[in-house]
Order: sequence, then structure tokens, then C-alpha cells
Amino acid sequence: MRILLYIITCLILVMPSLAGAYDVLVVQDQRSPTYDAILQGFRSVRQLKERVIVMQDYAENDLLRITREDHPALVLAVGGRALIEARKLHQTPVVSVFSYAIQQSGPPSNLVQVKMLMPAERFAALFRALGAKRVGTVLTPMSSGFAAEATEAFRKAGIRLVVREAMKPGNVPKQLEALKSTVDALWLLPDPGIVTSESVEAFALFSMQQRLPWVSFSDAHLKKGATAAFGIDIFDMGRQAAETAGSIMAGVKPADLEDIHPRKTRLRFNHPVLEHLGLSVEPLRQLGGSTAE
Amino acid sequence: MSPLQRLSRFRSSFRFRLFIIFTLGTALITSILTSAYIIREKNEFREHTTERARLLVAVLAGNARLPLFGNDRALLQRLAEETAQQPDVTEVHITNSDGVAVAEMHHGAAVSGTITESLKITSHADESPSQLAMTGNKGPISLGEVRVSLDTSRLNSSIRKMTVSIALYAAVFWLIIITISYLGLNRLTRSYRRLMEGLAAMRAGNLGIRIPVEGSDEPSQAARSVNELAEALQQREADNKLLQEKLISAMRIRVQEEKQQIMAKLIQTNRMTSLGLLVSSMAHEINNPNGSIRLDGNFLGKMLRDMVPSLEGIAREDSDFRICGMRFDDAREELFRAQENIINNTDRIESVIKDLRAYSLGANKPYVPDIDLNRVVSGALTIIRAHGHFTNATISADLSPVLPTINGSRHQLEQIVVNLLLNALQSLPAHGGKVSVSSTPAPETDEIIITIRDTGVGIPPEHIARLYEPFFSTRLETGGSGLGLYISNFIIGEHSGRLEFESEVGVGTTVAMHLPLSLPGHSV
Repeated sequence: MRILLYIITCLILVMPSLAGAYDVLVVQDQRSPTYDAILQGFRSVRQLKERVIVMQDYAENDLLRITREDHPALVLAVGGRALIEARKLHQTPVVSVFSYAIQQSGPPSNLVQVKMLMPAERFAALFRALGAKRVGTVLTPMSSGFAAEATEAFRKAGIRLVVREAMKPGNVPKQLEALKSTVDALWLLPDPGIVTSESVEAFALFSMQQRLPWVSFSDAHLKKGATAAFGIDIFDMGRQAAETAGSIMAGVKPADLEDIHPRKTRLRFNHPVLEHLGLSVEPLRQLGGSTAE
Repeated sequence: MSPLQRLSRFRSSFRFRLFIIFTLGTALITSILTSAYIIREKNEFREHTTERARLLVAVLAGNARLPLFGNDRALLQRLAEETAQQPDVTEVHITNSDGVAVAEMHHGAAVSGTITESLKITSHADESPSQLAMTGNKGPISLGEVRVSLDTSRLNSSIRKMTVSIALYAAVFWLIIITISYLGLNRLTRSYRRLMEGLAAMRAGNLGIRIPVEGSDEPSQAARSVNELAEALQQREADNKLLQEKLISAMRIRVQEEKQQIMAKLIQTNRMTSLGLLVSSMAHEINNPNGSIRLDGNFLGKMLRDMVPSLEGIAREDSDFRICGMRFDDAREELFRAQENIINNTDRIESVIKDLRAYSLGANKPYVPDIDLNRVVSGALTIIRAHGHFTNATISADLSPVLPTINGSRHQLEQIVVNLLLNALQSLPAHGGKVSVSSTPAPETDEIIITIRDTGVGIPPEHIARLYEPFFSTRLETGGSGLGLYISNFIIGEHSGRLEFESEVGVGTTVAMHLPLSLPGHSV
């Protein structure tokens, strides 16, 4: 009997350590097939013990306390809100994926992003194929670093990037109005302070009324009237995140790792919109683009 | 009153006619207004449905603009489905700029018809070309067209329900109006009705009824006037009744008085009749001794004439020869005069008796010429004096000596003068008075006027006109017959003459008896 009591006591003391024994804390914004596909890609590379927290299920998420108690080896932040929460962690390495943030990771040094945005040069080539000489975009001041990089990349491609700053999504129509007659194409960037369904619609309306081609960061906007966009392989993004996580778990410091861009992308364009705008499809086809279904 | 009569009376009443006019008028107005309202509402319903179709099309076009631009067929189909979920929508079509249907929905078949609205979609929703120029926007892009069809069966059903509802409301409104109007008319015509009921009662003879007066409208004022009129009529009727009673009473008194007078006259007539009989018997009784006296007087006259020569012889022998203390010469004359008086008075007695008999028997004396009116007056005076009842009266005569004679009845004329003298004497006061008789010729009128004046009590003016009435007398109680002046007026009328009275109460009376000199129509 005394032996049985000893065994039970030991089990009680050991159980918490068993509960917290996982490698990756997965924090995702919400439940959706897209997020599931990312995680499938992540799991296809490495089979790690993980705990999944869906922020949608909790009123408050104290990620700092969870990581302090559970001591995961890595936090995988899937989505923009998850990235915002993960930025509060300074010790645990964080790999962010599927976040539209275009800001540089910078501090904290424990963060590595698998960005959704293609490099600016790819977009410059796209705008050149559309015949644009002046490309307008609206960004928050926080994205000024990216804007500078993009401006330089566009300049090298012979395109002038006109950047209008907006403090909030409600200012987008006004800034677009300021671009009237000064640009011949629009570029919608994944700036969290700008992108909402209303601002996307404002881009679409402005594009339609001004008969300007509009390139978006997401091929989901093609149906909303975007002229062209780069489609991203979500599954592969998960694999990219898994590979990065593997490097960190292998001992590479996150600060030594660069943010990475999507590896598998596909240029897609909206054929009817091109026809409405009187643009040719061929240059886009030459860039490997295809018509959106 | 039977119900049918009451209904007939109600149908012909002023209230019923007003009610019918008001009822028909309000029915007509209500029908016109209801019809106008229904037509307006139907048009508004149709306009509303058309506007709703336009609105749906406009909303769909607004929502489909971007999906059409971006060729988002799934969204367009969802928009079409959402639009088709709206009530009455039967069809939704969205076509692109090439006319290819990119989304469409059929939501059942229209039962009674459809209203279809379509709208072309461009890249610029509300901007006109001028606005485009001002805003600097580029020209619109034709994106496609949306078309929405609405089933009008529910509209028609709504119109039918609305029509029935409005008709019911109008009917209820009309019923309320006519009920209120009936009550109002009943109230308004109450004074008029009471006036008519009151007039009907008054027409039936009930002047004691009073019409209730309420307010100050025209029927009430008329009712007040009618009440006053009825009161006046009632008062007049009472006065008339009172006057009638007084008249009947007065007539009874008058009849009683006349009855008494007639009875007095009958008594007088009876008395006269008795007097006539008495006179006849008296005439017989008096004529016999009077005849004897006359015979004796004649015998005495003969004897005296025979005795006179002998007595003259004695007187010559005895110069102091006296008879009854008188000298013979005086006694002879006195004897002859006495004998002549005896003869004359017996003649007169005979004549009086004859006249009394003739008067009492009513004998008609023939008219004779050469009637000396002075002798008529003298004879009358003789009769009056012989009456002996008027010893306090002073009777004087002033007879014209040159009075012409006339044709007539001496006794009748004498009867007139006697009547007039008697009236004059009877009018004198008890202590006495004067009565004068005069005769005067009136050559200018060929008349003779006999005037009798007295200083009596006079005749009241109201009696002047009644002087010739038979049996009118102020002295019936003292023996008057009321026939004197009646007979006198009759007699003088027979002589073509006339009587004229002048009298002053308290002073006296003058009666002028006018007789023509010639009497036309009477042969002598």
C-alpha cells in the first residue's frame, strides 16, 4: 500500500512536466483551411511536438506567461495577430509565417519571418510588363523602410514609385485621390495599417474609375478587380517555416537568419480587367503569368 | 296614426328630405373621393413597385460594379441570388459588357405580369460627362447590364386588398357620417318639428298649447312669434266670448224691455180699443140728451122769438122791465146768445162725439176744400182747454188773419194739432210753463206753417230720430201710447206736408207743421 501511494505521488509530480513537454508552440489567428495548409506544410518537414493555441478561442492571450511556464523550443506564429503577440517574446525564438507585415523584422532578434510579399524587384518587373512608368501606393509611416527599398528597386527598373502616407485605412481614398493623374498604375502592399476590405475596395474603385492597372500582394484580390497578383504556395510557406525552425532548433540563432520570401509563387492576372483597361496579356504571359480562374 | 301613415308623413318631412339630400351628397362625395384615392393609390402602388424595381436594379448595379469589373462570377451569382430573395423578384440577369450572362436567377414564374427594370453598369456610377471633365476622371467603362423582373401578382393582390379596405373604410366613414348627420339633423330640426307639431295642434283648435322654444334659431323665433300670436288669439277669443256673453245678456235685457214695452203697448191698444167702445157707447148716451137739448134749444129759440114781441110790448109799457135782474134789452140779447150757445154747443158736442166715434172706429174722412187752419187750431185749443188737466200752463195763440185755406181733413188736422199741443203741455214742468201756437203763411214755398212752441224739458238728441217710431214714448208709464206722433206723421204725410222738430234739452221744443196750399193727388 505504501508502494502504491508512492507511485501515485510520483505520477502527480511528473504529470505537469509531461504536459509541458512540447517543442513548438503554434499560435495562429484563427481556424481556417489556409492556416491548416500552412501547418500541414510545416509538419511535412519536421514532426515536432507542438501545442496549438488559436487566438480566436481566447479573450486574452498571455503568450509570455505560457512560454515562461512551458518553455517551448520555438514559437510558430501563423498570421498577423499571432505575429503581434509573438513580438512580445524576447527569449523564445519565433518563426512568423503568413503575416502581411512588410516591416523589417529588426528587433527583437529572436524573430524570423517567412514573408508573404515577393521581393520589390519582382513587382517592378511586373509593372514594367504592364507598361507603367509611375506607380502609386499608400503606406503607413511605419513602412517607410520598405518604401525606401522598394523605391530604389523600382528606380533601378526605370519606374518611379509614388508613396502616399496614410495613418489609417479611412485615409486611403483621400490619398488615392491625390494620386489621380500622377500615376499610371497602383500597387497595394500588405501594410497592416492600411489593408482592410474597405481600403481594398477603394483601390478597386479608383483603379476602375481611373482605368489604372492595379497590382495586389494577394491573388485573392483578383476577383475584386486587381489586374494582377502573385499567388503564393501556402503549403510551401509552411515547409519554409519548418526549415527555418529546424535551423533554429539545430542551434542557429534567429538573429543570424534573414527573413525569407515565398519560394513558390505564380503570377496571375485578371483577363477581363486587362481587357477593360485595354492592356495586352502577352507581357504578363511572358512573365509566366496565367489567367485567374 | 298607422305605421304606414307615419312612414308616409316621415317621407314627406323636411327632416327626411334634408337627410336624403345629405346622404346622397355624402355618398356621391365619398364615392368620388374614394375612387380618386384608389386610383391615386393604385398609381402609387405601381409607381412604388416600379421604383422598387429601379432601386433593386440600382443596388444590384452598385454591388455588381466591382465584381463585374473583376469578373467575380461567384460574387455576381451570389448577388443575383440575394436579389432574387427579395419579395416579388422573379428574374435577375447580370450580363457583362459582351452581353454574356454572368449570373442569372429565375425565381418562379410570374402569375399576372411583371415589371422589368434594367440598368447598364459603367465604371462611373453617378458621374456625368461634365462631372468627369471636372473631376479629371477618365471616361467610363461599360461593364455590363443588370436586369430585374418583379412579379406584379402581389401588387395586384395588394391593390385589390387596398381597394376593398378603402371601400370598407369609405363605407364605414359614410355610415358614420350619415349617422352623425341623422342625429345632427334630428337635433337641428327639433325646433322646426316642434313648431310644426304646435302649428298642427293650433290648427286643430288647441290655442292653449305652447310650442317649446329652444335656442334662437329661425324656427325658435318663429315658434316664439307663433306662441305670441296664439296667446293673442286666445286672448281675443276670450274677449270675444266675454263680449258675446255681454251681448247676449244685453239682448236678453233689451228683449225683456221690448217685451215689457210691447206688453204696455198692447195694454194701451187694448185700452184704446176699450176706449173706442166706451166712446161709442158714450156717444150714444150723450147724443140722446144732446139731441134733446138741441131740440129744446131750438124750441126755446122759437119760443123766445115768439115771446120777444110780447116782451117788447111789456118793456115799452114798463121801461124798467127786467128779467133775471137785467134790463129787457140786455136780457133779450143774452137770451138769444144763450139760445145760440146752446145750439152751437150741442152741435159741437155732436161733432165731438162724431169725431170720437170716427177716430175710435178709424173712419176715413174725405178731404174737403176751404179748410181754415185757424179754425182747426181754435178747435184744438178748445179741446185742450176742455181737457182741464193743464191749469198751470199758459196757452197763447197768434193766428194769422190772412191765412189761406187748404184742402184736407179738418178733424185729422185738428187731431195733429191736438197731439202736438198735448206733447207740448206734457213736456212742461209741474210748476207750469208756456205753450204758444201760431199760424203763418209761407208764400215763398206755397205752404202754411203752424208752429207750436213750449218751454218744456226738451227732447234728447238720441230721441229725435225715433219720434215717428210707433209705440215710442217716454211716458208709457204715465199713459202715453207712443202712437201720437206716429199717427200725426202719417196724417200730415197724407196731406203732403211734414213736421219739423227743433228742441233743446232744458229749454224747450218747437214743432213746425208745414202744409201745402194745394194738395196734389186728392180730388175734392
